[in-house]
Amino acid sequence: MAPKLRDLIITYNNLANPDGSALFCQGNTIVQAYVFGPVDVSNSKERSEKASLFVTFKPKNSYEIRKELYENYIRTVLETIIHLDMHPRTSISVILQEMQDDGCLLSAAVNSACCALLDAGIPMKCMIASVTSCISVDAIQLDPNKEASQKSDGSIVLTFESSKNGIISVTSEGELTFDNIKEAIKLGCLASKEIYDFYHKSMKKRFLINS
Amino acid sequence: MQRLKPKSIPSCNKNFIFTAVKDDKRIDGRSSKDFRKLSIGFGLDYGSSVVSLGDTRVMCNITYQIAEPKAVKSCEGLLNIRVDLTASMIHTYEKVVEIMRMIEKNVKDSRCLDLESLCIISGEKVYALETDIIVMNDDGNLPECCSIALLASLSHFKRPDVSVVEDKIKIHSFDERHPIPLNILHYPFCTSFTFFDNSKFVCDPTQAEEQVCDGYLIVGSNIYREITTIHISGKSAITKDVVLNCCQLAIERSKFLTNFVKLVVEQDLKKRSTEGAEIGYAPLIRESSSVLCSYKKEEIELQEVQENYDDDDVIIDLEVAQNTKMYRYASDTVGIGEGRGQNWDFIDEFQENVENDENEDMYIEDEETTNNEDEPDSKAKQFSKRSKNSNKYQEITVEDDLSEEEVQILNPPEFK
Repeated sequence: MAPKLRDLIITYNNLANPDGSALFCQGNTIVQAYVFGPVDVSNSKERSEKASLFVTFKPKNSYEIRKELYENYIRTVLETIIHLDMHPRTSISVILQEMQDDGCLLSAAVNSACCALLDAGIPMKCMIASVTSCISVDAIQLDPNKEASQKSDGSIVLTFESSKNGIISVTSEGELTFDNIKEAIKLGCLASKEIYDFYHKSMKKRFLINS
Repeated sequence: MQRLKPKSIPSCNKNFIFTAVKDDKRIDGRSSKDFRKLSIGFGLDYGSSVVSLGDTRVMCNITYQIAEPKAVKSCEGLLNIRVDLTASMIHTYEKVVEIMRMIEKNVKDSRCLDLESLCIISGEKVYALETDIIVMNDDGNLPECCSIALLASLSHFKRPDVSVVEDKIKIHSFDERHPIPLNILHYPFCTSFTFFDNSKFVCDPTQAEEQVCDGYLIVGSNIYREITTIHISGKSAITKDVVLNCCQLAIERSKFLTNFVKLVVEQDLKKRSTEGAEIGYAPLIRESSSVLCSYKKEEIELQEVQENYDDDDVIIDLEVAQNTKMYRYASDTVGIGEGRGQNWDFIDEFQENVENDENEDMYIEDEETTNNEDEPDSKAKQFSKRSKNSNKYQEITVEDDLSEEEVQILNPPEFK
């Protein structure tokens, strides 16, 4: 069974101020990512051997609880793929702004961060693709919308990297069996390839139009 | 959160903006009283909108909470406005407060929103509207863009209906009962003007213009020709006439904006009521509309472009170059012309000395070429030349020690 993701749309470089920006749209979930850097860093946060990476996830409404789980998850993922040692004593800031939430917000945020880093020209070891699957009693659904994910028993967010197609980060919620996880990985692996293709196509399109 | 240093504007750009404003011209091809292109898009939820004014892009989201009212205004709902400038990274806390206060003054204090209609039980439960204005990209004129976004969101927002039965409130979902829009009594929009010397001003300034301007004026006004707020800042001294003129322009702008916002909100609500129509930002991104996707500059028509050189931009020909003196300020710094002028007496003396020396050197060299066979003479002359050279060298070193500025004057060897 071929996995089915919702429509992916992306616009690179849609803002003038940041060094790189991407507006990532996965179905009706939209995340705007900004990347600033590598730039100067204050002394207290300076690291002599590599760049400091700051990730901020901003929810739509500021009175909501700050999603530190998301920030930590995305930071650990990005720290493994960015060549931070190439820019010592600098800072790279990634800001992710939620614009619309219709399920799979974390996955969309990870993917948009990858796209914005590509746009900013930050050296990376590989690309990343994040896929959310939600598990209900009878079936497993890839890339669910908000309604489906609320009805499900549990969800698992897998982040793949493109060089060896390995998993670099997993987080899950709710009740999952071992078989469920196995199936989710299988589906996610296929879906991640679709996402890499999408990155390649969109990047090509961007530079062909601009040139 | 890491903050960036603001972009510095080179003085040539600054001068360019100043001189262009005097001629009623601007870098993006507008005249001083033109505004940039405005576009508004609405999100999936009620009360979320994105406004693009040129490259300035602002998102506004509204949600509600049920809260207790303030003790002094027990039968009024609450309107909380927050402005978030983190994405533009360069603004100081003071700037955020200034814009936030500006918007609050304009919308809250002008009482454009009927807050009493947001009361559920007097003194106990009211609706509290949580308004978040998120600046995504700053290219000047934030007060206007923020106020458009806020009013567009407010006029788009719909709250769920509520019923009170025996001191218990029940909030009806959108499926049960029709959502209720807010009562907006008037639309007060902010408009900003920046001033350059001689009380020249431009509407809808870009970020560069805001950074180099002498001062700015923000006028909040509505369609009924009422001024809701006015705020002048900066070092420019503006006359009464200019303020009145700006107010007049602001009122005209407010008239346009009121109609525009009403129209787009109406269009979007119509779209929502038709079945099968796609709503939200996703179709806007797919069509790559100007609201969210691009920051393409509109093409400027180049008119009256002619090749002319200023008096300063003289192309140096060989004759001029030969008479031009080069000044060496440090071991690796050389200047041509009169940059970093020196008015000290000893420098002039020194210059004369050097010139004399070099003239003599030239003379000697000429003689050398002509009287090559005469060996002893030429040797003697060469010796004298060397001694003179060494003298010169000594002089320079002495001067070096004496002069605080370490100025040495040499003739350029390649121009000899």
